[in-house]
Amino acid sequence: MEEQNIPGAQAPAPAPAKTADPESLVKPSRTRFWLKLIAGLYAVSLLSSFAVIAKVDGVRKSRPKDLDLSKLTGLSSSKKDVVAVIPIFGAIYQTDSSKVWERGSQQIARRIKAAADKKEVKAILLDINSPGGSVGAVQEIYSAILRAKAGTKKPFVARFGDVSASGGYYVAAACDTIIAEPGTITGSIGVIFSASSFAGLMNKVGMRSEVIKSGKFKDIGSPMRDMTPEERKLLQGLIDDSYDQFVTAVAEGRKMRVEDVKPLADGRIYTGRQALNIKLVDKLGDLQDALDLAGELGKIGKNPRILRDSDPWEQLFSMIDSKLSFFGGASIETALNASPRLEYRWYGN
Amino acid sequence: MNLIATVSDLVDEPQDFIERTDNREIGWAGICGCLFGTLSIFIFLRMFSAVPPGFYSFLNVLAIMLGINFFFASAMHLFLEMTGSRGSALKLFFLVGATDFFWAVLIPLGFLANLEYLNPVADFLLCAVIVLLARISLMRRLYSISRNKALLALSLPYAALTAGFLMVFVYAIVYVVWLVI
Repeated sequence: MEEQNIPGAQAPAPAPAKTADPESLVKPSRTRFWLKLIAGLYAVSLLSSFAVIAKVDGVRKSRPKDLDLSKLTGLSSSKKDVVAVIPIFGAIYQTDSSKVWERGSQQIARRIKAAADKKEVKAILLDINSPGGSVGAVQEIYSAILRAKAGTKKPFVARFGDVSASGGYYVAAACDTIIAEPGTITGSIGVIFSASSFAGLMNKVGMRSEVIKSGKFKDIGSPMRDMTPEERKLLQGLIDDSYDQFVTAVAEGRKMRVEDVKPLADGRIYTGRQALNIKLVDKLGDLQDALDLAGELGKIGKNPRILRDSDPWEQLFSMIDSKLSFFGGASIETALNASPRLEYRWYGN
Repeated sequence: MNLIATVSDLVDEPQDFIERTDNREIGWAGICGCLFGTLSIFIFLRMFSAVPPGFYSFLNVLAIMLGINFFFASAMHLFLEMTGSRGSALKLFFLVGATDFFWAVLIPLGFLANLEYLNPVADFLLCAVIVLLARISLMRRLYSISRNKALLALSLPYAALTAGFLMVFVYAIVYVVWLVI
């Protein structure tokens, strides 16, 4: 301001050209320092990540190589304590294990194992509404429950809906507690083997089947001829052995003596209330009662959070599959695959 | 070429850096960014066993990253050129690659996700948001455009892809219904 007031003062000299700060030429900038630090930390974390990867790979190698669709649920996963609900609906048979959306015994067994392996699952509730199924399929689910119980010590609760007879009851026998509705149809402890004979029909239409076999029992159960007394005796042996397995499983699961189970196991059905009286079920109640009980056994209290195995892809495939079944695809497949087999099944419904 | 110095210049004075620097130097930063970003994504995915191990697996991820960068840079450049904004497509491609440096954040986040403190999907989305913000910032300087236009140019390829996927999905559903009926 003072300079402007001096008369005749010379114009100010042009400002010197802007030169770089000599310090900045010598010293690296602060950004460079931070970038070097970040690069160093990145290198360290990169090395550490190899340890994590080695550990993850080690764990993965010890796991079965099944597609776990539950990983795709992404952000919706919750880590709070829950009761896992696994539905077992309809007849129990083995299906193609590669089709994860199907409800065959292998898929159910896999769900039981997956639920038991989850840390947040404190108890498992099997929501059973099944008349049973083939012996092998039922025993697969039964052994999956026993293995999960032995491995994780998590409580299993079985809940019966409309029907839980024969193989449905076999599965429930492995659980710690069974809850049924008063009007549930249960029981039907026994084994069945049914084979049709078209011999009369074939005679009538003049058709004959030629069979060349290595042994006399090789075509046992064939619908093309009547059953021989020898074959009947052999099949009765199979039935008796499977029956013994059923009775033993019930006796072990229900903590009863085999002699006490056998009088109840003549294939008859019971209502839920009758079953309670003869100690085939522990309690009468609905789904909410079963959930409350599972929550208490899992030490997370009544009315627990529920984890259902609801993978979106699985549901989509299942829906498409059920649509195809509705249009006759499944019934044709069942008819084509129908063959005599041992079954823990009640054919009353 | 000193990578640290190049990136430091880009961080300190992006406008000046973009204007004065030749394609070679930006290209160096872009390719290194893409390589480090891909390595970080690959390591993150390996932590969750989402990709198989091995060099070829890494090359696959790198090829996908380069493809995505190329597609997005070309789509954005096309949109900006069509709306009258001038800029170098090659520089844009390299700058998009340079923003991939931010994927490095995935590695520490991956540790936390492994310890179940964070969700891996959320980690990935967080890094994606950082990368996209960096791309907007660089793009508006390269083409001298507003932030909103840069955001629009960036989101258009995503919108196009989403629309494409939706159309394919709808077509697939219609096809399945047709198969069933």
